[in-house]
Parts: sequence; C-alpha cells; structure tokens
Amino acid sequence: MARIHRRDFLKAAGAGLAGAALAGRALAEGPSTPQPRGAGRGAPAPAAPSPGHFLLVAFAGGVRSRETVGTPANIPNLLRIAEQGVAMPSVKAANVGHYGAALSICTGCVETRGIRDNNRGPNPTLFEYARKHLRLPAEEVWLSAADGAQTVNFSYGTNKDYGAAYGANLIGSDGIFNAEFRETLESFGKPRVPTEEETKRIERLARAMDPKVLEGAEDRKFANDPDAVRRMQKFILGELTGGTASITGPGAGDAKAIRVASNILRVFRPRLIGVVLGNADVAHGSYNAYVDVIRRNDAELGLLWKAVQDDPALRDATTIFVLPEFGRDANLNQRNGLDHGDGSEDLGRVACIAAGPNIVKGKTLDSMADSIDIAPTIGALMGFRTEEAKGRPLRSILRA
Amino acid sequence: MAEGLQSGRSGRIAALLLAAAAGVAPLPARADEAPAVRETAARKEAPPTAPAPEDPAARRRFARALFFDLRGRGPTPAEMQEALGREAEEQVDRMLSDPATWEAWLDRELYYYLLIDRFRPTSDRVRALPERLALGAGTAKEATREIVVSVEFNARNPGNDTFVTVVLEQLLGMVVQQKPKVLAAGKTLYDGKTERFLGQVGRNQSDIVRIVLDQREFADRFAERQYRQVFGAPMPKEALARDGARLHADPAAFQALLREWLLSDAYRARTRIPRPKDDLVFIRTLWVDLLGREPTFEEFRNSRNALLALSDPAPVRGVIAQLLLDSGKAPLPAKETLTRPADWVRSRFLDLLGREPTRTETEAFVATLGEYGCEPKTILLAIATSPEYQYY
Repeated sequence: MARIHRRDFLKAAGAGLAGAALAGRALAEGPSTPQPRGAGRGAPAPAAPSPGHFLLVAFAGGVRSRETVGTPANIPNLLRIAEQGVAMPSVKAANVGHYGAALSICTGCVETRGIRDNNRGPNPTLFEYARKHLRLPAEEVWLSAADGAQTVNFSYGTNKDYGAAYGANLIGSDGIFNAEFRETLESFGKPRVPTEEETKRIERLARAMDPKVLEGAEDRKFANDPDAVRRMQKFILGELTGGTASITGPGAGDAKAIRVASNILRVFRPRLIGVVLGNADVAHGSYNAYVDVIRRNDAELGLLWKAVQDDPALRDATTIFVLPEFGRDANLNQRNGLDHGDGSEDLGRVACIAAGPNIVKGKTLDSMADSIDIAPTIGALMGFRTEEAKGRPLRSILRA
Repeated sequence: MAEGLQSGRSGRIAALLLAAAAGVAPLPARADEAPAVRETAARKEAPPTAPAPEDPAARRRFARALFFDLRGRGPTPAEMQEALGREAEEQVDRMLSDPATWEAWLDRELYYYLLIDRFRPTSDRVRALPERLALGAGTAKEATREIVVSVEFNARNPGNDTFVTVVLEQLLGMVVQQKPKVLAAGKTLYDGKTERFLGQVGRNQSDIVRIVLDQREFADRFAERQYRQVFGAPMPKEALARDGARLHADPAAFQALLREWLLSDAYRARTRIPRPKDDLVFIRTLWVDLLGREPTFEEFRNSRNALLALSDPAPVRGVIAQLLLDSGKAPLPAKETLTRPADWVRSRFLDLLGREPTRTETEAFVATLGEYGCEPKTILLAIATSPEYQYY
C-alpha cells in the first residue's frame, strides 16, 4: 500500500487496467470467491464504530476504469476525493446484469438477477442491516436512485429476518422529480400538505376505522410513521417545485439522484445513504454520450462532496464509497457504443474510491478487492455485522 | 371418455363437463377453429359454475375484485350496480370481452417487458391487441411476440447481449449465466448468422423470438405470471404443469383459462383477504373514486412513475389525493345539501371501500363532518389516505 499522489494513483490505475494487480487479496481477510453461506458472520465489528454519516455511491450503468481512473480529465473531482482517502483501481465485479450487480454492492453477495427482473433479492441489504442492528428509524437510512424501476427493490430484500420493517426510504429521482409529473400535478392546482386541523381530523377518523377489516391482509411492507410522512411530503414537494425537477440533458437522472442525495443529507442528516446511478448505460448507443454522463456525474459528486465539506456537522463525520457495478466491453460495437458482455477485464474490473474519517488517507491499493466487500466494510465502519454477506471487510483501508 | 363425445360443439361441451367432473384439465380447442368460433367457445365451453347463494357482502367483494384485477381499478357506482345484478359467470364474460380489460392487461405486460414507459410501443399492431384479445382473435403468444419484436423493445434492449439476455430471462425465466452456450447461440442469430438455438435452427433476430415463444417454458412462465397476478400467490405446481401444457398446446386458451380462474372457488377465497393496491391500481382507482373518470395516459404514467420511485408511496399518494379533492374537478356535494349525512357517509364507504361502515365509524365520520370548518372533501381525504384504502 502506497501513499497516494495523483501521479502514483494513475500509475497504479494503469496497472490495474492492464490486469497486473489481479492476484492475491491482501485487502480483505479472505477471498470473496464463493464461500459457504454465512461466511461473513465471523467478521468482527470494529472496536470503535464511527458515529458519522455514510454515503455509498453505486456509479452504475456500466462504467469502465478506462474512462474513469484511466482518463483523469473525466473525473477530476473523484480523484480529489481519492487523494483524501484511498483508491482501489482493480475491484472485481461480476457481470450479472445492471440490477443484479448494483444489488450485489448493496448486499455483499453476488446477486444473479435478470436485466428486467423487478423482484426483490433474497439477501438483506446494507440498509436493512443498519436499521436492524443499529435500531435506526426509516428516516435515518435512505436511497436516492436515478430511476424508480428496479431500484425500489434495493430498499430491502426478502430475507425473513430482515425485510420491509428494516427497509430504506427510497426516492427514484427521475421518476418523481420531472417536468411531466410536475405538470400533471399543476394541471389540478398547487400541491400542498394538509393543514394541522385537517391532519388532526384525518388522524382521528383513521383511528375510528375498523382495524378488523385488514386482518389477515398482506403487510403493506414499508411505511413511515405519520410524522415522517408529513416531513417527506414537504421534502418531496420542495424538490418538485424547486430546481431538481428542472434538471435536464444527458445524465439528468443521475444528476437528480446525486442532487437529491445531497439535499437528503442536508435536511434529514441520515446515518446511511445509498445513491444508485444508471445513466452511463447510454453507452450502448453512444460512446460520447457515455463519457458525458461520467463527466457530469463526477461534477455532481464533486458538488455533493463540497457540500459535505462545507457543513461543519458533516465535514469530519462523513465517509464515502464510489464504485461502478461493473465495466463495459473492451471494444466499440457497431454503433460506436459500448455493450457489456465480452467477459473482458474492462468489464470485470472497476475502480473504487473511498474517503472518510476512518479511512486511511492518500493510499492507492493495488491488491484486488471485490465489489461485494464494500457492504461488509461499511458495516464494519458503522459497527454491525453483515452476517449474510459473502464479501469481507477491507481492513487494510480502515484506520487503526 | 367416449370417442363420440369429441365431435361437434355439443360433444366438446360434454367433454369439458366430463373433464371438469373428473378433475382434469379440459382439452385444448382445436387448432383449426376460426378465431371467432374459438372466442365463443372460450366463453361457453368452460365448466359452468353454479355459485352458491351468497351474502350481499360477498357478492360485492367478488364484483369489486373483478374490476381491480381485470381493469386495474375499482368500479364506478354505476358499474357496481350493474355487476351486482348479474350472475358471476355473466359478469366475467362481459369483462373478458371488453377491450378495456385487455388494455389494462397490456399495460401490465408492457411494464413487465420494458419496465419504463418511454419505450412504450406505438405501432398499430400493438395498439390493436386489446381489441383482438377481447374478440378472442389474438393469443397471448401473439401479443407477446408483438411486444418483443417491436422497435421500442429493440431500442430498450440494445446490442446482442442485452437483447438475447432479456428475451431469455423475461420470456423463459432462464438464468443466462448458467446457460452461456444458449446465450452465445442467440447472439449469433442476432448478428444474422445461422446457428442452432434451443433445438431449432435460426438465422436472425426474429427467429430468436419465434424459437423462444415455441418453448414450453414460455407457456409455463406466462401462466405462472398471470396466475400470480390474479391470485396474488404462486401457482401450485400441479396447476402450473396442467395449465402450462394447455397454453403450450393451444396459445388461444388463455382467455378460457383466465375465465376458469376467476370463477374458481380459489378466487372467491382470495377476495376474502384484502390485497394491497399496487401503484397502477391505486392511481386508476383514485381518479375514478374522486373524479369519476379514469386518468388520461399522461396522468396515469406520470403519477405511476412518481409512486414507483418511492419505497413508501404513502406521502405522494396523500398529496395526489388532496390535490384532486382541492382541484374543483372532484364532484363534491356542498355540506349544507347533505341533509342525511349518515347516508352520505355510508355511500362513500360502499363506493370507496366496498363495505358498509360500522356504527362507530358512521358516528365518528358524521360527527367530524358536522364540525365547523370540516367539508366533505376532508372526509373523502380521510378515506383515501386510510390504510384500508390502500387495499382492495
């Protein structure tokens, strides 16, 4: 492990791209290749868990290291974050579809899911672990995603010991904060939250309604308490009528997700927030548009990190992890775009960047890690075990 | 079963009755029957059910459930009144021959295959599907084909790897990571080269779809999905084996199969347990309940996408309900015209929740309505944002 300077980092990144750093796993306590279920159970929680805030950014949609650490001009902001923490240029990632691979980051298990699969996964997510083990209310754990489809399933899985009761609040920004939905609402008038008097009456009537009617009904799965609902209503209406719904252009969905994450962090100050991007998949049809998305996301992540650094309550208490779910093919397709299915190193190795108060600073780690190690690592930092995860905490990046 | 019973319409009906009595699946319709004939047969040949006399609450529950499950929304008061006047069989037949039912079905299918609306197919062939399915002139297999060969599906799934993977996953339920050779063969076809794929020789992208639709696994997966949609539960293995084989042998049997499911005791039992309204159902029902009309496609799409973007849609469901009630477009009575407020509360419970209010509920709602400053819209908002309204 070496102290990072941009030059060194890029050199190491280049080595990662060349596949030179693929042997060994000095970072983790053991291999992330398939292990018996529950292998992560033994991973001890750190002696002094961080009480701060945690950001996990799945820079998803399929992003090669060539266009990130391999082309510094594309990600100046992420490289600045890396200089404050660690860079891992050679993280193994399984090509199990965008949904499955992004979900893998959240669960610490390789999740083989269909590309258009819209069902929840079998394993608990990092968000469920956090809420259950740290006894956090839903308001403390959030997900901001570019799209609503599928990503709503990242909130929680179907594991019987976890599930909806421990799910994360999720906002799929592009689904809700868009001009079309705003126009639909405005065609009926100005949306508002109920007055206090209305709220009291509604609550009183809700209490009067016969609860026996719903006996035996399937659980509604996930719900905030009434106070949280009102706070969320205000937040959502604020975002809808504010600037977020007006963000347009290539990568607008990702930009909204990052912007909303920043606002959630400011307003709710949650312990854990996940951000799931996805617009880079435009690469199928256009390499140039793909690069534009990467650059825009880098700029938005730079703004997010600046907001964190400018906030005294967050500055020294926030940890961030950024990594794609997998890369893309080595060669351009017939449309001058990039698919993902060739089994190449470009597809199966990605770069991860992490920084925060309990992360070692200024290091490039050229040993191989695995994308499923990230959730257990965050668990270790926050002070809980991700017992169903197959990945292992990356102890080498944690400060003693 | 006597051979002679198999000939002619009456023979087939007799065969079906015997099959039903023996607890086995009816035989498929003959492949050479004209679509119109087959459509009629689908209605008339399924085993007739003679529902036992039911209490009014059960009748109402069954009729409401049909609207939610087939139309993707609750009934209007007029529709409910009509439905209550018909036998179950007649009501099911009417709904299955209504293109509106198949429009709602197509909406779900498009979402299943595409997940987002901006790739929604707009071709005449896809738009004609609800009408064709209502007439019995189209099959589920044909409908699936139209969706999967559409320009929009291709645009949604660009490149050989994504296209072939999605087709194999969504149509067959295949885990492609476990079948790399099948994926590779499909990609070869996609690229315009001749290859053997799933046991058949193909040469192009269209052949991928044709060959996949010919697989027994397609029929099984389709039947399982549809069953889950109707019953809200996994399909029992025995039923899957039976109905999957039937659909595979006769893709036109889907309408008849659906009819049997809806008229089964299992479906009636299902309606006794409240089922959560998904976002599609919630939006359509809210519009009908509060505005007296279905949402336009844009209203529906934009609202659904917003609700789908939340793990807890309750905050936005509440905002939308309040907005509709505040809009001046909801037909709300003036408070002073409600000379019998208990009757009004009762009618709102029946229309929006499908049940009579209890005495306690009536008293609470009437008392609240009588408070200074409380308007009927607050009562409706209380119902529309209640936990019970999130179910049907």
